[in-house]
Amino acid sequence: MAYKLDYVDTFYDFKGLWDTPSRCGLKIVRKDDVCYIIATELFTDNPGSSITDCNAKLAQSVCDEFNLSHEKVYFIEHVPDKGSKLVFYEESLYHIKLHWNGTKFENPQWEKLSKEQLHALIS
Amino acid sequence: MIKFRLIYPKWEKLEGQTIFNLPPHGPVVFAAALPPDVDVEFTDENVEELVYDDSVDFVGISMMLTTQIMRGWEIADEYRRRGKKVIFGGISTMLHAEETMEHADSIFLGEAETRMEQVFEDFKNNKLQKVYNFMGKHPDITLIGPARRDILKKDLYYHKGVRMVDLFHASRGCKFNCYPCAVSYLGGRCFRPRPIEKAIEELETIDNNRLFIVDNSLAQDKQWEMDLFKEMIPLKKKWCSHTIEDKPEVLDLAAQAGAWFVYQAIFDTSDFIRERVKRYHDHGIAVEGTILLGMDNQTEDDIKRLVDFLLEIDLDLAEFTVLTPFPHTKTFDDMRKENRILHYNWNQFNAGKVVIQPKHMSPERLQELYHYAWDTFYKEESQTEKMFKLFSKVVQKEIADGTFRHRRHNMATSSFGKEIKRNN
Repeated sequence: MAYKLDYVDTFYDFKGLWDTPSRCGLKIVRKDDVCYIIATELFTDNPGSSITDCNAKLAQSVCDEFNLSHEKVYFIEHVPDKGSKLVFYEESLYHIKLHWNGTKFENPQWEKLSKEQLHALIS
Repeated sequence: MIKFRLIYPKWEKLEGQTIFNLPPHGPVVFAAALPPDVDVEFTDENVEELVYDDSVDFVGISMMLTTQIMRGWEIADEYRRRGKKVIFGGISTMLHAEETMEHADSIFLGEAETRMEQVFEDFKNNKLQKVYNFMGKHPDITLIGPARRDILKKDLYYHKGVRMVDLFHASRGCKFNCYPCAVSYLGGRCFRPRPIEKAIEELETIDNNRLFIVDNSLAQDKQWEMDLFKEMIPLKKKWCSHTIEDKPEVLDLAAQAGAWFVYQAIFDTSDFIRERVKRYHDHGIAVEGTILLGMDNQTEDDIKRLVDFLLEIDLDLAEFTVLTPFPHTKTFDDMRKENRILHYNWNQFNAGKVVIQPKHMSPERLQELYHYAWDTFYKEESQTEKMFKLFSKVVQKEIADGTFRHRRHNMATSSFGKEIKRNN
């Protein structure tokens, strides 16, 4: 039975690469028939793998935990602005296209998203 | 006794880098964690030729750099062809774990202390596990004892009779998680200082007066750092290290404890950097700048301005590298997302060869600017001359406090175990 949810907004603890304890921000929004999963990098508040480094594993963990259909999720990576003057710590949003091979997600492909695009998707 | 052959694979040096070979640190720290019934023989392929020895029971390959891994795999393939079991460990094994598994009977991920008894017991019982995964499970920092520097063939680390520095660490982990760095993945996102008495106990065992303190950054806990320096003063060691706190009270103690020079990342031309370098200099501590080229905020003009700035601030030495996306770093994450990694030939990931598409120029132009930076900085005074000045400073300090040791005259015509040709 599918997990009945329309909205989740929480910290999410997961097993990162080599099972290292890891944490991210997690928002799940159901719209129409699709679940939009937004994982947010927590930097120093994440003791383990970054959300980019283990996105396939993270996506699978979220799908399993919330009983989401692998074919009907739209996975978004959110790296927030760290408030640094260095450009590589600016906020970024990416849609990650993951291939479901029947047992696990693999082959991540990233597609940059603007905030406007994100809002259009989930609002 | 288990006859264990520990190998440190060779790598190609960075263009422009000094010819010096320092005794490696990872293997000697690892060797200290071996059970007593293991007879370890160490080969550093950077200073000696590797001869495949069929009389060994078990082979370990310790790798620090990404540029060592392909050679490490080659060595493992040959030993396995000869029927020997091979285990990999070390920093770059952790960074390249999945690929390395294809060349290994076993890989060890994490820190070795208290874990080697299990590994060798499994080896003896022919039950070696494919992966020993201790990532994120750090051993009690108080259990880290002195490294086993006795496994090093010390005569191989001399250049013209002058002994190279020995490497030492007083802490693990790092709280900073900098953009191009993998330390937070490797050693955790928290600073783990060794108890001062343990660090001092190890320092007392090192028969070399010149050291490289290889901690990621000593500037993570001011009180611990000051306590460490205070306790180091009587040892009269002379040392270089990565960044230390630049507060006057810390620098004063560091200088008394023998700070010779520090590595300092220089990423812009700000007064912040200028003043920091001046503060080190005011305390008699030299500065080797580590300068990363090809960041997304750097145009060609920025790079040229940065090189001019380095000359203005009277930096003692500079080491230039190009931004390189090592696995499990934010740089790698970002470059992968943007499809900007040109290839995955790990031998080229030496931070001297451009392997990414820079944001503001072509890869070829960045490569040219890398050479421009080295050439321009060392135009008026060569790297050898600048290093000699730095070396003279430490000799003066040693003469002043009575710790100076003459170079070994019987080794004056050799460099890292090889005779120097007369016309060189």
